[in-house]
Amino acid sequence: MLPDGVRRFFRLDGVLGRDDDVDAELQHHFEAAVSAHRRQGLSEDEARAAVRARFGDERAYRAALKRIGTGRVRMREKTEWGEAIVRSVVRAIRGMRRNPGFTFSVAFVLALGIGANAVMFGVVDRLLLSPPQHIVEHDDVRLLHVQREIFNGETRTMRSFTWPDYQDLKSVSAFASVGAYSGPQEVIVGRGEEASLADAVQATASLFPLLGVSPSRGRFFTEAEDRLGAEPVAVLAHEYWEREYGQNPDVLGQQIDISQASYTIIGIAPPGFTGAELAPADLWIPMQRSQEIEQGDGWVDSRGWYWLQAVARLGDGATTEAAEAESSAAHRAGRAEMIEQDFYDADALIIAGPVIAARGPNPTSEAQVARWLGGVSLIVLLIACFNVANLLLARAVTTRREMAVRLALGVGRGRLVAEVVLEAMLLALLGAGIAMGVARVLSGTVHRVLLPGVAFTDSGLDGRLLGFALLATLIAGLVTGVLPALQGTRTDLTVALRSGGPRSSGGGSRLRVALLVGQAALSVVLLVGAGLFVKSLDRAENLDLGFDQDRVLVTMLEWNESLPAAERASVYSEALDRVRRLPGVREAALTYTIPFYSSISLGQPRVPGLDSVPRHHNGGPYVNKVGAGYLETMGLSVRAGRGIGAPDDTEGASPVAVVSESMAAAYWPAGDAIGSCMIFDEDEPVCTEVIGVVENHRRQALVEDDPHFLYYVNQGHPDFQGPPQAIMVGTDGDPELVLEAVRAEARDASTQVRFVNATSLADFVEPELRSWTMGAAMFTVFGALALIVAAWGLYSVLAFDVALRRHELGVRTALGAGVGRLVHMVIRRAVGLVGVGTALGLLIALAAAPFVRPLLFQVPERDPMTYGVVAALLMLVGCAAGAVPAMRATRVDPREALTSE
Amino acid sequence: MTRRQMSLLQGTLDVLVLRALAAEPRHGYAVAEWIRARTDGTLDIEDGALYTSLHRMQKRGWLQAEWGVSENNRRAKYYALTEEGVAELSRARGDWARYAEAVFKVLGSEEV
Repeated sequence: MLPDGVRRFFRLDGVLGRDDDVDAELQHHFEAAVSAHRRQGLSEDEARAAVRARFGDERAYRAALKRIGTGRVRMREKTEWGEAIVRSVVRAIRGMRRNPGFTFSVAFVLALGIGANAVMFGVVDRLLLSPPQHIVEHDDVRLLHVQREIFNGETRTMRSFTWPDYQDLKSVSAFASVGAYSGPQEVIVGRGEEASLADAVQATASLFPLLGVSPSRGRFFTEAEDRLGAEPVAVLAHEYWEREYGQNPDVLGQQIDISQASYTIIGIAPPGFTGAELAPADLWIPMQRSQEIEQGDGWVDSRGWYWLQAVARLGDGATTEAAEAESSAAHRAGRAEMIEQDFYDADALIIAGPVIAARGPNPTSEAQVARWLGGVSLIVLLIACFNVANLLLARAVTTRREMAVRLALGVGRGRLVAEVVLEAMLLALLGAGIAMGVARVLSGTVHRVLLPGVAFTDSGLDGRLLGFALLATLIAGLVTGVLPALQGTRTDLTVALRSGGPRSSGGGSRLRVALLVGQAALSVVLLVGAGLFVKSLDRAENLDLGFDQDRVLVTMLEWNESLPAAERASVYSEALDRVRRLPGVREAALTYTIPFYSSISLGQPRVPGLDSVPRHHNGGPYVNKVGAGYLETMGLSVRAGRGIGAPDDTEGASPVAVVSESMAAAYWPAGDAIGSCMIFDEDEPVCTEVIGVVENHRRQALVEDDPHFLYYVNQGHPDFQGPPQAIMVGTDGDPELVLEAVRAEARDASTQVRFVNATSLADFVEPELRSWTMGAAMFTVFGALALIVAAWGLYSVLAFDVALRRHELGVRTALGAGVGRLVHMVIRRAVGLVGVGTALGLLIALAAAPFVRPLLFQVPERDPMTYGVVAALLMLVGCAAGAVPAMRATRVDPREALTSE
Repeated sequence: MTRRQMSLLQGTLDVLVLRALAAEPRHGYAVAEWIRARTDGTLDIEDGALYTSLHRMQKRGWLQAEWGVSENNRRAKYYALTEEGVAELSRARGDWARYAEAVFKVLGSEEV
């Protein structure tokens, strides 16, 4: 007999249905049997009791009869394979239907594990496993990198090339073809109110045949169209064509205004095409012609203008080594003059890396985090499997006698093991079904939020993903099924049959404890990871960059055609005046460069009195020409002297400069920067007076080993010409609140303003935070999942233990054990189990910590605080999971527990 | 005994029930009495198990059943062997010795 608690927990009774036939038949049986007993002289009550005893568990039999009645028949005991499998499946499905609660909870736990893996597989597959779409024979396609020593002696691997470098690479015979591209870059499409932003990639005509892609309509551009002075043509991305043109087939031959010129649409790229990169693109435009339209032709001969990426396809029989040797030689030959003058590394190497950029020499931090998250999702699956194995083991205890009996009847052990594993497989399959539905929804969110710069296929469910999910399911089924199966069938027949029930849990319980400890330990590992990433993100977000990125709106104007520079400057002034008057705007100023976006270095100034000026190993000093109030707008504090004010803006104002603290310290270590003189133009030497020292700020990365040198000159400075590039708008609160008003004012400043691009300065910094955002979000989600699953597992096992020990608990209560003692007993077990798991988990985390270190930000990988909080959390969860079973233990009625035997 | 033990008796019981019905159609209680009388109580079978056996074999087509009136004038369900049932009985008789041995081992250790 099973205690009621166990019965309830696993719903062993099934559902009692109505079946008049069965009822009538059994009624006849009872009447006939009772009257037979009465005839032998028993009283009515005695007769009924005897008949009932002889009949056995009436409820169970009735249920069994009704099941037979509903048409599922137990087939004959045969050992033929096919029949055995069908039989086992039927048996398993029947078992699952009999215990819907159990089935659901198991499927749910597996769904979490499989779903987490499906989502992460999608990410890992895109970033690390699959080449960009539509690339034919991608093994031969190589992204080209250059590895060289830069002036501070450091060796860097970079992907940017100049146009002359690209010409050199085209001559390499080991390459069947070479292509280049630049972008995607945001461009303005259309005019006036209709204008919108799109991402355009400049590409050489050779790129498309090199990759092996064919257009879905029309054609890609030809070499003749990719020349200076050619008629501008454009190819639309399939997605852009869908979004903006509703797939109108008449679009071919139409004109489209892109940035400064009108282009003829000649083709539509196939869906999902992103070139040799993963970033989504809207437009493909000829590289040389578009660059000429936007930038003139200075780039054609410049070996200092790095603006393109190069890609090559290896020729037949060419090895990577040969191609790298040949292209390195060509690269150095092209730069022979610079090398001779010691301006360029004589040992510069060209590396032909795989087309999957994340596997190349320059993987993004997102790709590295994704690699980790892939592993982490496997841990989630493992935890889910442990959990389910545990539930199955617990249940196996209740079916030991059935197993023993079937073994005794000559059913092979292999067959029984297969049946249990099969049931686990079916449960996993059910879980996978749920998981795929959830993963489909979640993937979209994960992709959009965490990896906005990567183009994913929309469906989220492709063959590879399904294949992977199936594999995960198979593994889950095996892992969860095999242990309980082996355990359950190792039963000693005589013991199992005689012991009369599940109370003697034997060796199985040790295995269950091990699984539980394993779950707790793995949860700890994940949560420690989550803690470290969350802390990294927090540190990175709260990093003092110098400027106040959360209260600055960067406002850039885009122009109709090519306005004269002077006119642009006056429109910027007009727009500035209008914006300044807006409520919610505390200050605004013109600027020429934008942190994390652009910077200009014009060489070293000469400082009278200094024999040589110090150099910064990251280049510079960087200069920015700013309007009055710039430093205040940006939230940069003036450390000495004064900032740039209104009088400095006027034409003919005396040239002044404010230098950053780092520059002041390097140039004027004695602290006498203010009043010093800097000379920029030796032909007409004019003294620019240093009027102030301002705090440092980051230029282009959160992690810059050293503050760079930077100085600001006033707008009226005679040596620095050209129109401003943006208005920095300092806001009282969230820049988003005034964004629309600022855009409207700026647009109204002149009819020549084609489009206003307004973005919070924080958005310029955001991509730098992405790897930590992704790590923190996914580790936290996975860690929480793991914790929930582990807590649920702990709860199940404790609840089950309490149910099994009802008898013992009843005896204890009868002997006078107080409520406190019983609660203590259960909680102590919970805390003991979790404690061991936590300790183990902390050890694993400590051992694994050094590997995750490069991905963290200003957080020690063995941060005691994080480890402590996680340990405390686990203990708390352990107590919580034990609480309900503990309460249940105190409610055991000794009389009921003792008589239920 | 609980439902868990049905599988223990299934093969055994089926053969006994088939045998009980070989002579004439009987209702469930009569089958139980017949087996009990023939085994002198050595095989103490739960009546419930007997009914599951009857129903199962009816589904398999070894038995057919119809409602009739019992000796006490009560409505009762009568079972009879079909041709397949007869064939099964003779087949099962051949397999029985081996089968019974296994069952005996189990029953021998069971405090039923």
